[in-house]
Amino acid sequence: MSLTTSAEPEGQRDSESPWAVETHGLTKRFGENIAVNDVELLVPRGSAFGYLGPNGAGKTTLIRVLLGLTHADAGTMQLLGHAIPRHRDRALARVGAIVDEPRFHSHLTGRQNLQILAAAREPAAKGRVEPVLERVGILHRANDKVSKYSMGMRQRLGVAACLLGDPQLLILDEPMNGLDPAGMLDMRDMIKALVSEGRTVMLSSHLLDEIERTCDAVAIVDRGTVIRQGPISQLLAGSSFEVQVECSDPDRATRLIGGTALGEHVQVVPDGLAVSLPEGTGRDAIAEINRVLVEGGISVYRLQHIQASLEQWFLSVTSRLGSAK
Amino acid sequence: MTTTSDLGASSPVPASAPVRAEVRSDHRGSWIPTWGMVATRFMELRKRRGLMIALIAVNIGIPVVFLSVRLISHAADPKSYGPAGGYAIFTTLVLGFMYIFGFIVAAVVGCTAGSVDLTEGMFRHLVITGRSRLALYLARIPAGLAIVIAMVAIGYTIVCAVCVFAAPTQLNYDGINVRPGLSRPALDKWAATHADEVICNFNYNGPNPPPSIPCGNGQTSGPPPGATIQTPKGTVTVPASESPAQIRAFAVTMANQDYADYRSNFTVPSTSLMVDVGLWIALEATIGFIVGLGLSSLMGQRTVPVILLVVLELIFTPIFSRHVILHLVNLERGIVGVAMLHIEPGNLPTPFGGGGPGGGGGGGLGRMLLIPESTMAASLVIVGWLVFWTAIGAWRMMTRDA
Repeated sequence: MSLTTSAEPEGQRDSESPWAVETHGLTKRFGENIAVNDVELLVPRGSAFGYLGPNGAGKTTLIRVLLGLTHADAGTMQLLGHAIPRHRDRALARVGAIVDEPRFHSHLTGRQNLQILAAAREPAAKGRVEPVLERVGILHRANDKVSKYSMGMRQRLGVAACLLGDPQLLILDEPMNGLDPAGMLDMRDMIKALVSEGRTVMLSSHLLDEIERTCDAVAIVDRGTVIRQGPISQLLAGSSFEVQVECSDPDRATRLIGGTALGEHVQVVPDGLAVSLPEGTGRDAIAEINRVLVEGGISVYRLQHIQASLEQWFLSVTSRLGSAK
Repeated sequence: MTTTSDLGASSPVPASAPVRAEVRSDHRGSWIPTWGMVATRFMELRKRRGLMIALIAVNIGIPVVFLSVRLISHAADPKSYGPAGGYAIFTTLVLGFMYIFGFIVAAVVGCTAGSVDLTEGMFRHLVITGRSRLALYLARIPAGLAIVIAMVAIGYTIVCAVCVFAAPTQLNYDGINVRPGLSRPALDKWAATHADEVICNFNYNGPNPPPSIPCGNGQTSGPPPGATIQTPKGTVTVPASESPAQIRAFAVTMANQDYADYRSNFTVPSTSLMVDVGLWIALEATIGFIVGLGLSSLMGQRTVPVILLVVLELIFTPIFSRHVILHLVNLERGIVGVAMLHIEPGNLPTPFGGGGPGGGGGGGLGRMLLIPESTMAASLVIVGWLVFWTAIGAWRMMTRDA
């Protein structure tokens, strides 16, 4: 497949496409190694979108391809409705991004680094230097050399650099890296605030917990391939879940449930029983468990529905794929 | 301390509706850098303390120290120490130091400008702005040259000022103090009145031996009276003694013979010469910067390009400018340093040594030692180097993964 760009009339589509990021068949190879493999990605506008995958899954490579930092070998892509790389300049005018660890000229101050970046953007960007410094909370250190900044402050400066262009789309690659818990909380709140302003934030991370807390939708990537994508709630709704049962006689309860269709995944745990229910099982199964136990003369003290976390779901999806391969 | 509410506060930069008109009008895809890009790039280079110290030390500091020592020495003991300025000092400082090390420092600035965005991680930020990569590259040229040329100009102006205002009033020609700028009759007249000094010191290349005159330390200017010597015209017997008139006539003959050489010596560099040499040094610094910029952009680092350019300037150029290597002579002519020597203004002494009549060794003989190359060919080589390295650097900048 060759790299193509969709035909696009001059100056159009900036607000017409419902997708902030749209890729079709996007592929990037490094020799024999396929870092991005036939990726179909749709990031809705105005959302916080997580791009989730283990280390080496190809997350950063996809971002670099999207931003024109390296070329794609095949496929099409659009940012904010603009075809890349054909209208790269127009698309990136409204995009801010951190790729890998944010690095700057260490002999310059934070303000001076932003001035350099603002000069490469539209004239209005120059006037945004002070507001973005204030917004990310480093205005009081703006005249310090970057060499004196902590990792967290550099991350903040990186976000400030992203905001210089008043972006509609922010692409943040592992923005929590190197941050302490307070810094992570700040970053999470900032991302939420940016989304609440109508911006789209695409967040790449291997930290499932952060993605789950921050994002509305997610794409799971493994070995360069997007294996699932969609709203987190929808993805988890179809996943397996567990029912924890606290009862008067766990051993007999195990035998009773073992005699039903639900009996394959029952085990005794310290507090009682744990019944794992497969994907697609309805909530009626919980009532069925309760009925079987009560009719068997067992007192039921507690029934708790435990939904799988994104982490559990991610591990189950990726490990299943790994074993299939 | 930054709080959560600080970061989550309502944005000073609210998300705006698509600003297509603005985006379309900022010429982001244009290859022409904006004034702001050049100005901030200038700031980035200017703030590099080590680089600026090196630049100032070479272009300004060392000449100033050298001239200051000479000024103080001359003021303290004028008989032992000559004037601080003058033509000879001008050629020594400009050609022996500023020309060579100006190139090297300019190359270091070029290599820095061409590589630091990449090595310090700013290149990626800049590319993400959507700005044309070619514009990002071209912005470095005026910014870097503004620094390099300004430093060269300041240092050169100081050297010229001292060489003009602290120049000797007498020209020391072949060891004798002569008034500078004499016409041929005036020099003849002066030679007649200083016949002994002329005969003892001026160069002479004629058929007849000079008259025998005591020149001090038991030395005489010619063979002893009555001696028989071989000349191109045959065997000649030196007269027993020569009249004062004959001695004066011989001194005038010698002065006439040396007049052209005498006229190529100055106490003070002329204004036109200083302008020409200044432009020539600025061109050399420009070449150093442009080649350094292109080479470091190509290689993606600073150290190796700097070493390569130092080797080019200090080793290859002196060798290839003077030693014809059969079958490789056109390659030698293609070295920019060799071409620059061919367009050296004012028939000055050449850098990297070479003797000649001007200011203590240089010019004419220096020129004769150079491998032959026409001025047109030399000019084309220089333009070719500037265009080639700019193109190479820009190409790499445009194709490099960020």
